[in-house]
Amino acid sequence: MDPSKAQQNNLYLFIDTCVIQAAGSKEKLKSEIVIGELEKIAKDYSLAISEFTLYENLHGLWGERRSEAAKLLRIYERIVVSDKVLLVASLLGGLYHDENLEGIDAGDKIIAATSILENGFVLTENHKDFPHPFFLTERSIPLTYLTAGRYNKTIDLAIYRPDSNLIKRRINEAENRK
Amino acid sequence: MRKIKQQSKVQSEYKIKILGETIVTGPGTVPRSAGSVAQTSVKEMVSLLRKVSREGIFEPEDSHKYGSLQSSTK
Repeated sequence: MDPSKAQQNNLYLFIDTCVIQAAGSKEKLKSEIVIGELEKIAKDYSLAISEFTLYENLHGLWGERRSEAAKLLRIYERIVVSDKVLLVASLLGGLYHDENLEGIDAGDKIIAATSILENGFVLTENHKDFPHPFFLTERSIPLTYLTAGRYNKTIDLAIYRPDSNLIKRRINEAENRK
Repeated sequence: MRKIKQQSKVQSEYKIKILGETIVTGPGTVPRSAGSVAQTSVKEMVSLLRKVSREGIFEPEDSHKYGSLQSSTK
């Protein structure tokens, strides 16, 4: 699928926790290059986060840091972790298992399920969390920046989209199992 | 306002059946959180991300102690 920009504009791009943290990194050049990319991407997609991303980003923060992080996260359009999301996430566990895809945590399945239900996209640095054949690479986004140690480092982001036909078929087959 | 347009239905909806319930997928299937903004403000996002970066909000000194953020999402 190669949706036109207008079509993409109707659909959510869910920003994974790792991308928010990379954009908010203390390393200025890393932060700036990711922020710049988010600005560009926002022209083509509706940026949103799952409620679970709110949890992941606030996890372990206290006091003023927590307040500042919450202020940032509240400017994103947030999508609920609904019962439908959890139903699909629970099925993904089985579907991933059938493909020998292990080690993907519940939070990533929740974000994956949200994108499946919305037929949206996911922006992440953690490629293994949105695995083939259930997710397809829409766009690879290598971002190279200069580290404090003055060497080049690349953060490899990617936009993934669910393979709707495959997922629909696999879910329907799984639901018909005896 | 959330950018949902009628044309998005053309190729973005499909049905899945879970526990006997047929779910039509596509934009709007999952509700927005109570209290959520209607649309992400890119200008505010950029400004707040820069502030968070400047102040090192996501990288507290004691993050290893509490297993926060960097370690929890990698």
